Amino acid sequence: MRIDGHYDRDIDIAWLRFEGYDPATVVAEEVEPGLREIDPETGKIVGLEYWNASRTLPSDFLAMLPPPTVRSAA
Amino acid sequence: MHLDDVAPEDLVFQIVRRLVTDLQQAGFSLAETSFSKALGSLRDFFRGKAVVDMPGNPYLVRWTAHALAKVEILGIDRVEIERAILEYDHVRRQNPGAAAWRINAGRLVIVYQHPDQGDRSAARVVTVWRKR
Repeated sequence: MRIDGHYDRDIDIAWLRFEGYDPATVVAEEVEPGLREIDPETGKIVGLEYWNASRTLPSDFLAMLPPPTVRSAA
Repeated sequence: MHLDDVAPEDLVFQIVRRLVTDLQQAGFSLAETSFSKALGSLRDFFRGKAVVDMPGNPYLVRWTAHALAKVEILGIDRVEIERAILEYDHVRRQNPGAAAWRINAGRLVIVYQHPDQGDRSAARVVTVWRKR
């Protein structure tokens, strides 16, 4: 399974996107560790956003995630 | 006397004092003591002796790298987010999760910090999502 995502160390948020993630249609709902992103057509979970990620996810896994990349200037 | 020789704080102080004098002459009844105190405070402020602690709404929006990357991927207009924060900060709600505050803008939920690292003029977007 392909996983895209990033880890923003400054705010301790990790964002994971799975196969079938359609950014144009995805919706989200809050759950205990952060957000669960859902494909509204199928109801499948296609993404997860972890707040306080370092408390929830293994540090080895967070170290594998790249930092957020932004195409345009802030 | 040349305008360049006048310090900005003195200029502002003189303008306000002139205004008060004009108002008094126009028949406005002003409490002398409190006005003197206010003028003194104003002068101190402009001379950098005082810090004004105003709660105020943000007028500048900054972004975390996560939020910026996310709106780009989701195809959400940054301007829409920034406008929502600047216009609706006064109806924000406390957020239990990733940052202090949240507002709803249509189907969008915007979570942000304010003040941003002590800067009351600025808010920082932490994350954004579309509601189900």
